[in-house]
Amino acid sequence: MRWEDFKASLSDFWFEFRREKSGIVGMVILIFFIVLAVFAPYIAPADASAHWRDVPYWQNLPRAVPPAWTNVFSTKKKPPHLILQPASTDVRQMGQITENTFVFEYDFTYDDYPTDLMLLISANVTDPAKPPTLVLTVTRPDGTTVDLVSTKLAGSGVGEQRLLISSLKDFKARLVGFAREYENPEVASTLEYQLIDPMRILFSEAKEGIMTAKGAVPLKGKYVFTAKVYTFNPADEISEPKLVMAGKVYGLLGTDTLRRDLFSGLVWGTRVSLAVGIVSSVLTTLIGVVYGVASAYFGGWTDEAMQRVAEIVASIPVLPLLIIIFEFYKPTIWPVIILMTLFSWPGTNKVVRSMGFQLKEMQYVEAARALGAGGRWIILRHMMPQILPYVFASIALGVPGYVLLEAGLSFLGLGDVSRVTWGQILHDAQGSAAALNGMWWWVVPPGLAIAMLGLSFALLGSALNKILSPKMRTL
Amino acid sequence: MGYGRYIVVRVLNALLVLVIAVFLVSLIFSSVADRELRAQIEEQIAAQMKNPELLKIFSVNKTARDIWYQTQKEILYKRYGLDKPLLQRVMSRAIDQLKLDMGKSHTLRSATGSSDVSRIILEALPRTILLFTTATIIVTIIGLILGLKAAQRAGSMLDKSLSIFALITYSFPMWWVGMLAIIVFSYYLDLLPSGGMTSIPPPEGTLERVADIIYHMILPVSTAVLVSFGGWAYTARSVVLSQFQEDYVMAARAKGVPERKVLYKHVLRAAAPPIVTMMVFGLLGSLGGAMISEIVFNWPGMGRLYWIALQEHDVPVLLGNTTFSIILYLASLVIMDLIYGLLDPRVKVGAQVAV
Amino acid sequence: MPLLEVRNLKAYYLTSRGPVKAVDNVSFDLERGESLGLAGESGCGKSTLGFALINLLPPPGKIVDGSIKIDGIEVVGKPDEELRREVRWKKISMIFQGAMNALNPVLTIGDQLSEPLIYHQGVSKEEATERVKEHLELVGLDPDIYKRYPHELSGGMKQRAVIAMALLEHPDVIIADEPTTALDVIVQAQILNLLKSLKKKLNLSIIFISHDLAVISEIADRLAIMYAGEIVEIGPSENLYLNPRHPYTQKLLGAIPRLKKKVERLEFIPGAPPNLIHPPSGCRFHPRCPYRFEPCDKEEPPFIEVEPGHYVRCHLFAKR
Repeated sequence: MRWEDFKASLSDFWFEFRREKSGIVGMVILIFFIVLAVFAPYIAPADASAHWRDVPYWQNLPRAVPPAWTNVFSTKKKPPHLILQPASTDVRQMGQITENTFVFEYDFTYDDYPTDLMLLISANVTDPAKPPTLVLTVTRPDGTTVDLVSTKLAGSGVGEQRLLISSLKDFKARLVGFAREYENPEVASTLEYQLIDPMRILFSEAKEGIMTAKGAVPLKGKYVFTAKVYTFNPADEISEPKLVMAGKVYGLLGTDTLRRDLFSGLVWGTRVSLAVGIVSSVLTTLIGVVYGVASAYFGGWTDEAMQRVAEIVASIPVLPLLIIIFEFYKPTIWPVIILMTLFSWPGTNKVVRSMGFQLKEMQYVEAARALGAGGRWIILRHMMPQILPYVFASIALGVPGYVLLEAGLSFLGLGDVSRVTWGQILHDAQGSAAALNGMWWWVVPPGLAIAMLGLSFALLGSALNKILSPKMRTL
Repeated sequence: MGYGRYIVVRVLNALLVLVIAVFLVSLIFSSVADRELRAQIEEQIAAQMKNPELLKIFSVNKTARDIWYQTQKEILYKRYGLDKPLLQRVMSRAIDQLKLDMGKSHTLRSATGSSDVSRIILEALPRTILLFTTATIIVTIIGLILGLKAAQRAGSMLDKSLSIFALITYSFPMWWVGMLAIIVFSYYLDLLPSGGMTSIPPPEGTLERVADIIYHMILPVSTAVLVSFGGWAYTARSVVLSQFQEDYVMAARAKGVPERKVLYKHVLRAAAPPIVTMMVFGLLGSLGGAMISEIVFNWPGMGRLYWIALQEHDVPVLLGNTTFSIILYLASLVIMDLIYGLLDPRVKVGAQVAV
Repeated sequence: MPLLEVRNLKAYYLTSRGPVKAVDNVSFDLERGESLGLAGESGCGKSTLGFALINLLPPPGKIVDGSIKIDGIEVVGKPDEELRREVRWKKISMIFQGAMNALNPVLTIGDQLSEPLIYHQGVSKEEATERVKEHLELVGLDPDIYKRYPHELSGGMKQRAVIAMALLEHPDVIIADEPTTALDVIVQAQILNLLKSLKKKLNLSIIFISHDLAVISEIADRLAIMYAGEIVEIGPSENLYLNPRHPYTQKLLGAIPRLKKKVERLEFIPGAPPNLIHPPSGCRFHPRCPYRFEPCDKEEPPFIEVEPGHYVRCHLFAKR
């Protein structure tokens, strides 16, 4: 094929393709996913995929909360995730002891309570035996002041520490003590301690009902948190304190029970699904085409034997075998791709072979052979150009199957564990009974992504088929 | 060739594939498992050597310790078959699997309390078949009816929406749709049970029990049907449509055969064998999806067994389940082949007799 | 009154790029016991004409104008159900290319042949079987074949079965559409001989469609030559064959080798058959015609009777 001919047929193709609405839709969806995959490090944290299984990495986020935009649809405003910087800082030297005072102001205007309270702080401690002490108090809008916690920071090392204040026993005990002054004693005595939410007490009106989920009324207004950190060595340094109000909603897609940002997972998962889908489909189709053409070209006994082998491979059940291989070898992404293609080429082979047989009977192929053309020449020059259009459609139509297969294996907890995939997100969702607990934001997006990515290729493939198949009929 | 010989060939073919697949599984397993087994044996011997009596002897006599270690190792290697060459072990493992002699589970028990792997799986197998067959039958009926209607009115709204629906569901993971169904119908609407095969405790009386199982099947079966029927209908439509373009349809119409008869007698009969062929792969593809869906619906079949075995790393169950899955898959394949043979006279009656 | 009377028939394929005028303004008659050969290059509309005659154009084909009268009954515009019950196979039947796909592969020969009898005449299954067996014998087949499936028969046997099928209800008109094309030469001759003898024996009226003039001239009493959807020449076989008038017919006949005449060289017709969406103006053959002159690309030539019963549509023969 000359270059001009190629250009002409390409522009021909584009002309026809533009008229296939479904193909255009598929193209648009696909481009969206490609953009997500390529720009993943800019759209989401660059190290999110590598740290997907690193639990501490995600600890600053709220646990299992829906996306922030759900507030738009809800009459009950839920608190978003907020990281508060100190409104004022003060340092006082008292002999050997240094008192660092940080004041945080929190405007609480919501109808629901934050899920957690965390303090992030960098402490440079010289003597591990003398760790700094933290005292946290709050002044509520109603003027009451509550001592929330007094605890020791970690004593060794440099760098950021994270204190999950709302899970400290001390914190809960003090708030329950505060609430008892207002709650009906009968109610208070029958309550199960486990079920009392200290965060609710902290942000509720000080009156009867404060201890129960039903009775509590959010107290709106400005909360002033005062964190005093005492260090016992003048060389110790305390810096960058931040108070985290873990929201009831978070980000674009919410978080899972391990506090992971699902949006990051979704964005990074695009890479795996796209790569697995496309590379597997291209490989399978290529193997199938080469095998099918060779089988048709040689014909006779060779063909017979090759097709018997193909038939056996075709009837080997892929999923159970892959489960066993994956469980025992724990492959990373590239072996995953190769293993998946290993069992799926016979379909393409079958179609290509029958096309090859048709082509072989064509007079121009016979003529070429009569003129003494060699096998490779005939295959490359006469058979391949006719088969090529089919190849493109077949690659596109093959992708959804591999995306599904990879997702299925990931869902079973198999596959590459060194990076995040959509199937893994759903695996974790299943493991945490997300569906049973109505955590739709955890379940819907990854599955939808799988379906949409598959759909884009299915649309593209069927459009390609429509455009290219009339040309097949001219064979 | 004749139908009898056709059946024999198909069954032999399936058996050959079974043997190859099980051999492959055994090979994969043995190459990894032997390493683990050796490590376990080392551990076991090390644990035994902590026996104070033995330690007393060993502290006096160092060579006795080595000899004891060697003999223990040999005994255990022999017991676990590690003294034989790899290929032989793979063979005997494959044969054991084919004889359904699959060893004992570490973690699971059957309803009767047996830890025998084949017992455990044989309990799960019928449940998978029940769910899968029910879904398949419903999908086939809906798919055929819709496919026919769409082919009759090619280009109509029905036809177009069916094509779009088929394209969309083509790439839906069945198990994910199951999770959505649970969120909608169990969590939000609270209409249907989210999982399991029976209520706990199961109701008294046979009829009540059957009704209870059907009640629990609604969600998983509907999910499978929803995801699959579009594709089936689309396949049926394409095959029927291509039959409509055949000359014999024109001939039948020219002969004055009523349109209904053209459709049901000529087109449908002729379309049946290619429909069966095209659906074999769809069906076997959805078997995998259906087994994964069992996990979502907590349906106590082979799919959920996979989930548990994978979580617990229960290797004998994993291997046995794989063998049974292969058998189930190939059995479905043979059944489809048999149906195909009945539908296509070229198989049923045999090839050309006279020219 | 002729048995079949076709007047100004127009059958178009209504495609998105515009109507393909596959049959445009065709008129001819067929007498009882007569056989008319219909010849032309592939794509000239002869098969479309055949399907239009039994009113079974595959979509998007449609008869847009004209009239077809079979035994005095107008069939254009008749509702499909009436056509099915009263006309098809009773008045007019068709011999398809049997070696191709005219027989349903999953039904037995007997089943398919007895259908018209059962659906049209309400004959019992046993009686239908008897009649099918008779007709199978008539076309030289073993009557036991009625139990067989199509794939069990050879191409020639299938073609005979298809012929038997066309004869079942003794229709007035039989259309034979390329009945021998897919067969090898010896079988082709056998089938032609069979058709000839049946025609004589049963006094059949046949429209014989083929691209192969040599085959047609064997069986046809009269010949019609089609070009680009129109009949360009029609007349008694002998006259037309030995003394073709239309330049296209001359070229067409020149393009087949003959036994009796010494052949200098085989002619071929330069150019390709015209686009039927936008056929050439005036005479449709003029772009390929070696004799074209002034009026050819402007005026459509009328039919001119050059000798009794022999008509030509060509400006060369206009009496000016």
